[in-house]
Amino acid sequence: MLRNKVIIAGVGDSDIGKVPDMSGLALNAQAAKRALDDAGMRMKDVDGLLTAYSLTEPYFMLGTVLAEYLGLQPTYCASLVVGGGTPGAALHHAAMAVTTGQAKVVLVTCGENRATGQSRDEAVNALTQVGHPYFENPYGPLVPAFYAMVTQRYMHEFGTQREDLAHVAVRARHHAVRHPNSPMKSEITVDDVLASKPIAEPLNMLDCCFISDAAGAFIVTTPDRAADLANRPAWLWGIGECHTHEHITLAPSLTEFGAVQSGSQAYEMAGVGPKDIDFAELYHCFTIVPIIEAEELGLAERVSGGELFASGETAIEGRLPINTHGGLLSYAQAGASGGIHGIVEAVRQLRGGESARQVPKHDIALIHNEGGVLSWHCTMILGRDKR
Amino acid sequence: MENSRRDLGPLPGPDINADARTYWAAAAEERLVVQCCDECGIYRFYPRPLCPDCASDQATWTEVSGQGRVHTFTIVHRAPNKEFQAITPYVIALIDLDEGPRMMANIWATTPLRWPLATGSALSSKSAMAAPGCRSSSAPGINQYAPQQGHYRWRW
Ligand SMILES: [Zn+2]
Repeated sequence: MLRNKVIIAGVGDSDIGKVPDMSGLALNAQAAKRALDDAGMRMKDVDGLLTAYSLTEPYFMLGTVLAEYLGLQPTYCASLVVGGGTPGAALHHAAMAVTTGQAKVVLVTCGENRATGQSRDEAVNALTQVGHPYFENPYGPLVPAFYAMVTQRYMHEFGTQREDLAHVAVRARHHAVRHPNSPMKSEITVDDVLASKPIAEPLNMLDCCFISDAAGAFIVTTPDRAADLANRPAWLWGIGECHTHEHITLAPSLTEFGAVQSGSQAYEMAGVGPKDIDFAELYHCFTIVPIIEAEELGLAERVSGGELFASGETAIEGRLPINTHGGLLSYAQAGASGGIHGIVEAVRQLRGGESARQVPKHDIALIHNEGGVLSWHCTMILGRDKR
Repeated sequence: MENSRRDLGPLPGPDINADARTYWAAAAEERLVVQCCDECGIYRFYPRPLCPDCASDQATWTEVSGQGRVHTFTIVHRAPNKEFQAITPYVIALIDLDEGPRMMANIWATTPLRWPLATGSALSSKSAMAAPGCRSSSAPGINQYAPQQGHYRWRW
């Protein structure tokens, strides 16, 4: 039971977009430095380090490499690999580490130079790593094809409309252009999404996240440090995970995933329900994903996730703002960084003062990360105050 | 899908490890085989040593009918390599075999596939699809296939 035992003391992200002058490790270092500054801590305060993986700089022991790169000699250190869900997993592990005393201050950082650190062929090739090497890849899928098959089935069973999907992308962009660090500067329309190049039907180019150079970081510690921090911390109220499969071929269902389970664990630990959530940062590598997650997490009725986005309720000023920074679709996606920007954004929103994109009610945030093909789920609930 | 776009050519063969060897060896002979658990009788895919339902390590490779239904599909425009780029757009589907297990496959169709038209469409492999590992020059090309009574041909 982790409620009220863990705080996120600081958050940061690196320069984002195309950053050819920085290596992947440098992006992580920059995000880490900014998160430490945000917390009012120094590198030597860090005794635990968790990171993810890098396709552009595939070091064998990335956690240890990053510790060396940062000049750390931590007592707790690992690289975790659960795809886009890695930041959530890292928060969960870090929370357990600081509550058991394995470490006092855990730095979590994820990201890589996915946009400029590899050739286009390498980037496309990286997208085949999610497929089963012996029983899926022989048929020519890239990651969008897997999500397209989920989308197709979802539309078939629940009547989700192509326009609903487009609205998810339009909303994301609308939020991203309000973020000072966003590489996306111009709005898009539903027609733009529907007219963009088909990638794997029914998904078009603007239904898919773009790849970036990006890293994000956050600092996990215990509440006894709260008084010394430079900024207001966020409190961990609840967290849950669920893993149902790795490859889409073995997914128990293409319409019911593990977010129900991870969400109910997080809600139970937090002692709140979906109606208590003020805003949410959902994973959205493809437009179908936040629709599914909103439904599974009880933020929308089953079948009406699409309407939630189409109706405008998820706008900054709406009933339930979602993906207030633009998410993976319009802010950044660099390997495992996609989910970490949602955590960073939630902490900033909880504090308040994010000007153009500040949500009006900001006491309770829900963040959801997923990895693989909706394979691995982590739901996090953070509070502005102690629960 | 337009017939004229289909010069099937050799697609890359599958990578094969010890778990996958029996399956692909049969596929090269145009036989579709899956494991059936000796204890609980459940067919499983993909092949592996323990039954995911009962954890028995006893199973028998069994030739299945090749009949199944489309659970979902996508028409792919962006391909992972030049061999697949040469045949875009192509269809990837998840097929539920009549015997139970789900598997991924390509569907070759001579008319455009449109959801929900293909929902639950029956599939037949009896027309001897070329398996990815099969590079024989006598492997049938797509032009030989036309949809029959709502049946689609598929390549496993
Ligand atoms: Zn069994």
